[in-house]
Amino acid sequence: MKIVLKIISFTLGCFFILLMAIASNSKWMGRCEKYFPNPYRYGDLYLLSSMPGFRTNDDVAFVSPPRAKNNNITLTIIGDSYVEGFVPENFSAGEYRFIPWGEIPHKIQPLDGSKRNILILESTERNVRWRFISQDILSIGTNAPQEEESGSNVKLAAEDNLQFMLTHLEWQLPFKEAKTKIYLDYFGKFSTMVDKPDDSGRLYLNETVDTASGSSSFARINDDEINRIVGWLNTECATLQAMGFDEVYVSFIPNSSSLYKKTSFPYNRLIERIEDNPQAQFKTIDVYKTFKTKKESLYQINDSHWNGSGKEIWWAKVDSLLNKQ
Amino acid sequence: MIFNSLQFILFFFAFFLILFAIPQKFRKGWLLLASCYFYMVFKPVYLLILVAVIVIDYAAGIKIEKSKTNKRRWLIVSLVSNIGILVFYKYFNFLNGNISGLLGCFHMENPIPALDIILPIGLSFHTFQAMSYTIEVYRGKQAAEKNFLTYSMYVLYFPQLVAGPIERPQRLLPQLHNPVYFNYENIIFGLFRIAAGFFKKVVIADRLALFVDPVFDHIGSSNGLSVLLATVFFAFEIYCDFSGYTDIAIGISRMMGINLVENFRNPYLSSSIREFWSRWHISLSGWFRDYVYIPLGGNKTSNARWMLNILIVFFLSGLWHGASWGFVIWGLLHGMLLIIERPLQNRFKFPHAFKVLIVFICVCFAWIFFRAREVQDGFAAIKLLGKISPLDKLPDAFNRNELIFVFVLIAGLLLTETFIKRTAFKKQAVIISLTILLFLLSYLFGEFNFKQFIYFQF
Repeated sequence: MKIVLKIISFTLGCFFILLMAIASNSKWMGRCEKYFPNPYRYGDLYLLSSMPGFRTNDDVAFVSPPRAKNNNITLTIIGDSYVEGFVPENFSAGEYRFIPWGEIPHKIQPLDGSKRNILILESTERNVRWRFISQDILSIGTNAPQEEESGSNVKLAAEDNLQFMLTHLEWQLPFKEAKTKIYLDYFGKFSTMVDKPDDSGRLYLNETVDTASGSSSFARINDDEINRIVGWLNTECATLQAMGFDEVYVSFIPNSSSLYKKTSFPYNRLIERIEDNPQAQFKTIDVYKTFKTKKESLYQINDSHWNGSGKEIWWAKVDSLLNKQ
Repeated sequence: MIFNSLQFILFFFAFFLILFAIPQKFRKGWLLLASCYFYMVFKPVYLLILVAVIVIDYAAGIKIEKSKTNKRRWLIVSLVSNIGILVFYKYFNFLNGNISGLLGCFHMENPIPALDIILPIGLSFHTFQAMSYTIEVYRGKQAAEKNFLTYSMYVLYFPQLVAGPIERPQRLLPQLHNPVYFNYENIIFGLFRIAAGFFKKVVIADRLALFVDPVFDHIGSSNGLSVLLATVFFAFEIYCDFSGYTDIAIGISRMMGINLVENFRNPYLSSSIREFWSRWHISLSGWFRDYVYIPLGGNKTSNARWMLNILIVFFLSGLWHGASWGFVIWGLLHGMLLIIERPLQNRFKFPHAFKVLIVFICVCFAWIFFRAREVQDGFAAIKLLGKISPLDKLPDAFNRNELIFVFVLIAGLLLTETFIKRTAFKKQAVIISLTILLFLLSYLFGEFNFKQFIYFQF
């Protein structure tokens, strides 16, 4: 009996060492991620806050019908996490390239002039004010600080990795929620990343609500700044067209707070003011106005991103654009 | 690796599970290996410094014992190596900066540049522990350790490697010779002590830091009431932080059957500064008493010389805590308070509670220079204390409920440590329940911002 206990104890000890080793190595971590529960399964805002009542999955499945490929079209999207999940099969374009913001100089590829090259610049509303204002679009990402493989970084990464592996298990979530409730009810504290829940039944990213933040839907923006953004977009779209893109579109994905949050501050109407600006010389794929007309929920209640329905509206607009002769 | 990190928790479980699973003859080796790993997580290359010091002190210990004529020379070799490393890593830039400042007064430039060096974690603790060994061997109170692995363990022993308690060889070395057995009672009591330390650190110390840090880090925008409260809170923050660490270190050791020295005995209930120093960081006070104060003549000398001895000891104690004038002022303030209190104690008879209050106020006053980022900030904080107004606005770190909660925690801490002895709980079921409760409460009410233990920096 004693020997069995010792064997179990030794094996378990070795298992813990293995976990520590995996957490300290980014490559191993990448390979093992799939064996641990996805921390985002209840939405990014729930992950950030562990807010009771939001441990649910209300995402709507997005299913695009099979598309016949048009080999004459190359679709490139420079975008963020909202469109990251699209795959080539979703689009009728013969070739599909997704370039995350920040990787433009490394990922942009030579264009085949014999094809119809379409480019979409997609950005979530909260990033517009800092993203579309100063730097030349083709240099975005070139000055990004390189991840140092220093000892302290490895240590921090190891701690993060262990958190990823060990702190998102299903049985732990009620404890996390209990802690959040105690802190919220008695100390008036909760995650600074998330806005205090209101009666809309949704969680919002705090930076999209707090008027002190430049990403807020309710921060005041003067016309000069809007004009500067429009001017930047005019220049950059022209540059991209000069590079060989036949069509360049701009698409802003609204903050969920722009659509659903009720505050005493008025919405700054950032998207409309850019899209409807008389000086704008670029084409847009507008979803804000469409979203406003929809009664059904287009965003997950516990995530800063849209749900399948929201995604589908945007996708349908892109699809019709691709099929336009 | 800090004790309140997931890395440590995993390391802790892996270490103990394997320790008790492997044969007895490998357990010491495993403990040493784990200690090396624990230290290397901070900065791997610094293990070489520690190994170098271990080799020098180990050899010096044997030479001191064997030598008839060169004892003193070998002691000096050991002390110079230890103090040399300490001075280089901890005080070089401080001394150099002061020289630059001094030369600047005469419009001269210091040709020696500041060095880009990172202080090896816990350096002051393990060098003091290492010096204690060679001094005790020199004095003939401790036999030189012949087993290199055991001596390495004496310096590298991970539970107390980075923040003490600073052990004496007579106490720790014999325990390191003993075999490590699995003992259910040791495990239970050890875990209870760890839970208590963890609670003190994450629930009390790290919570108080939320109030203290903004006040002392932005003293220019603080007010008198905030400084007053932050000073009192800091007194408990540093106590819970350091004694919490010590509890964890003692608990881990207890699980292996090793008893570390107690470092605190409810210091804020002291009725004199002298008593405070017999209750606060006991292992360091003892070190300075035995190796600096008594060799200087202690109190068996003229009054003037005694005062000088006290000031030297507290100057060094302040400097030991950190290379900055704030720590030196903190140390000297304690020295001066000790000097002042001696004649007063015999002349006046005050009620005990009054004396406790006065000592607490004095200790808090000195903490201001310990916590302030710069000496000027310390003086600015004192200035603000002179302008206290009931209308002063407190920082919004705590709402009213949390402020009450903090006071309840502090009161609970004082009451628990005063009225409940550590050995009060005998029944294992009670200990287990309390341990689980403490861990649960630590989770529910703890601040997990991975704030490092304050004393790790020393």
